[in-house]
Amino acid sequence: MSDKKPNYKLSLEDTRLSKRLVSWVLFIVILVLFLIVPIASLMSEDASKALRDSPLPSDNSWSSGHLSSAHQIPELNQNCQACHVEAFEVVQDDSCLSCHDDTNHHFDTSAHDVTKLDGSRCASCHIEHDEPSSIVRHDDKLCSSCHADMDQTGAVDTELVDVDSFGKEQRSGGDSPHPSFKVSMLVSEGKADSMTWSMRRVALADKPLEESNLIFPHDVHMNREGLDAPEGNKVLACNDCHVTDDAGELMQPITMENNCRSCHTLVFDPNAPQREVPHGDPDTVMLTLEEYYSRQFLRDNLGRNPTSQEVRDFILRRPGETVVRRAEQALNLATPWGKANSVAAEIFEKTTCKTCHEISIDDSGEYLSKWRVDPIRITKQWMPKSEFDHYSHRTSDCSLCHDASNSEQASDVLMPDLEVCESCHTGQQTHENKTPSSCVSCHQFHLPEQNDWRQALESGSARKIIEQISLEHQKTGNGHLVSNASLSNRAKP
Amino acid sequence: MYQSILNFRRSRYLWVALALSLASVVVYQWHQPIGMPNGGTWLGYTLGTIGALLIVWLLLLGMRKRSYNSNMGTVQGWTSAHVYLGTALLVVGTLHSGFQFGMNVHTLAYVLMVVVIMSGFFGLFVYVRYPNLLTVNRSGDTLDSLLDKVLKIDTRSRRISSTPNLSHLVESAIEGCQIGGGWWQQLTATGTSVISVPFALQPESQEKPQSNKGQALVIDVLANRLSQLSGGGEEAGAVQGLIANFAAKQTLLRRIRRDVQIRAILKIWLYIHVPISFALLAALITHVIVVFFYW
Repeated sequence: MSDKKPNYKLSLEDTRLSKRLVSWVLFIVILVLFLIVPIASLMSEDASKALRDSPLPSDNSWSSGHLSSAHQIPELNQNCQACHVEAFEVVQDDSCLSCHDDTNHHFDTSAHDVTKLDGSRCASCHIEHDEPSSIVRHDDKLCSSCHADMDQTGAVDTELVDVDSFGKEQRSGGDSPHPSFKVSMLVSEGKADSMTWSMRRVALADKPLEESNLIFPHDVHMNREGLDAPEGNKVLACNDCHVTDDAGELMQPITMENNCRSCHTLVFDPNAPQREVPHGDPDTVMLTLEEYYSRQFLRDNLGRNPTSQEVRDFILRRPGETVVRRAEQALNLATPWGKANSVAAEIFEKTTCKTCHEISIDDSGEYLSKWRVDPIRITKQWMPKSEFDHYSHRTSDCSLCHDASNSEQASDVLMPDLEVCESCHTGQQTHENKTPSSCVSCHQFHLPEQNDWRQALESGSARKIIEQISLEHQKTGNGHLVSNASLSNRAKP
Repeated sequence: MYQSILNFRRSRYLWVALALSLASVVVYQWHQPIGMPNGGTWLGYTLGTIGALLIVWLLLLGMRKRSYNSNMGTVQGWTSAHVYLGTALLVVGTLHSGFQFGMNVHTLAYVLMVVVIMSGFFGLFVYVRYPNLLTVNRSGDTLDSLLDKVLKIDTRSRRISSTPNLSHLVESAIEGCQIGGGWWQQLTATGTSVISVPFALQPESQEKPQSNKGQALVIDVLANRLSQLSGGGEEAGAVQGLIANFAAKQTLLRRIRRDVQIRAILKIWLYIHVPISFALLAALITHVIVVFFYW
């Protein structure tokens, strides 16, 4: 029997629980597993591969998010060093350009002294390991950081209008932050065969007229009552003529053969509906007519079909053996020639050709046919500075954007202006029930027609100027780099 | 005590923490980074730096508590700031992450941070709630005085055990009585008291050790014995005295176990809070290094 107080465990300190030991163990385990071992494994390729293949944490556990889907290939996904070449150094453009060497610049660096992009890396815009992953920028700031105020970019000679974003917001009620559209239109100079075209940027608001030399009334063709076609009455739909290219983006060019000829035959003799003049060179048309009527004349006179040689001789007006025979021949020739000429006058000036073409007369005798057809040039891409996908708009009626049924002249430019787009689209920061659209919904950053990115960086005049100025500053001991103002002054003549 | 931590200097650090959290949220909302919000933007780096410095400072509370000669503010002030700024860290750290989580060391650091903060919240809760319960349970006594009372009762019980069987029973009950124990027993206030009852008092037990939880069995055996001694006498008096003693001991033990339990609850969260803090420190160091290693 004893009164001694038993050795009770009456507080947690008396138990086997330990803060200190567990703290040290956790601290060391995490540091070793997640930092020291993965770094050590990078000393050798085999070791890093073995660690990545093992269930232990490797440098894969350092990845803050998935790569974008296009980059999720074994060469990149299991090989951090493909991009992270040097430790403690940001990813360099060389890593990106080793695959994407065909990437183009945004503008002509030799023509514009824009400094704002200097120092940008690919990864400045193309963010990897972001969740949810979006390697391509869709935010308006990509564009508006420069285009909202072009004066700030160092581009002193630009004609570009400042653009903030797209879409007018009902709340603000102000002007649209996007300027009205311009189209790139072919403009003609000269006459007929000597006609030349050049591309001009014209504002749709200025109601430009296309100078294609084509005669084509959309309203007639879109008559809801239908048209007289060879197979009977036919109501035309837009896509009977306008078909998108394979990509579904732009419309395929309209051609006589593909789009017109099924209705617009080139028959010149109602008695021979199977015979047509060729579509193209007026001289060939003339020759065809002469040959046709000569053959007809010979057949009538000979009482049989003439041989090809006989027709050829007849057309070439080969002189006969005697003066009398030559006189006879001249008289004989007058009939088919006169016939051919009168038919040509009819089709060139009144019917077949004149339906669609502007015809001019050239009496110089230089050509077999005095009727000349003004060449046709139709603008293929009206808005080359933007991307438009007809396919993704296929559920909309064509007339929503193109007011063709009221167009009487081929010179009408049937492209929609900004308001048409704004009727469905608005900016990204929207409070309207419209499709939020960013700049890159319609515009590209890397423009196909520009120099490639690497070359532009190396040879861009803006860069050279900066280097030159910084060199001067170093010489004069002024450490500050070039300012926009000094660059602008230099760029001025 | 809790009043003084939370209301220290008119909740000075509450306002500091609120201002920091609010500023972080406002700037986060205003900020429009390229791509998704993440730790690699200027705001991400700023919030990350603030968060990392906060974590290091919050860890220093453990050192400040031990340096009794320190002139760097009172421990009370430090603890108040620790609670409020630790809460603000939850906001700063979450915004730093840009809500991007995955199976990686960065999210490991975040999860550890959240575990530390949540265990801290639990700690704050028990510091607010339990000291009062402790006082009520002790009702003027101390743990030592309660234990002394138990010892005195035991001594008395031994003295009045008039027969060898009773002596045997009482001794076994006293020896087999367990107070406290491992961390689970402390937390659940469960004792594993055992007793072996003499053959004469309970033949069917064959003197094997049985559970005497809450001193229930010994009281039960004594009560049985008392019913057998219906004629009274010396032994009946002794048994009656013993029943009264063990009943009193039963009440005392309940209070002692509750005391142990409350003090265990007051401290158990620290066995999560502190080690996970060090795990967090390791994960934080790893996070910062690897972010720049693969910049």
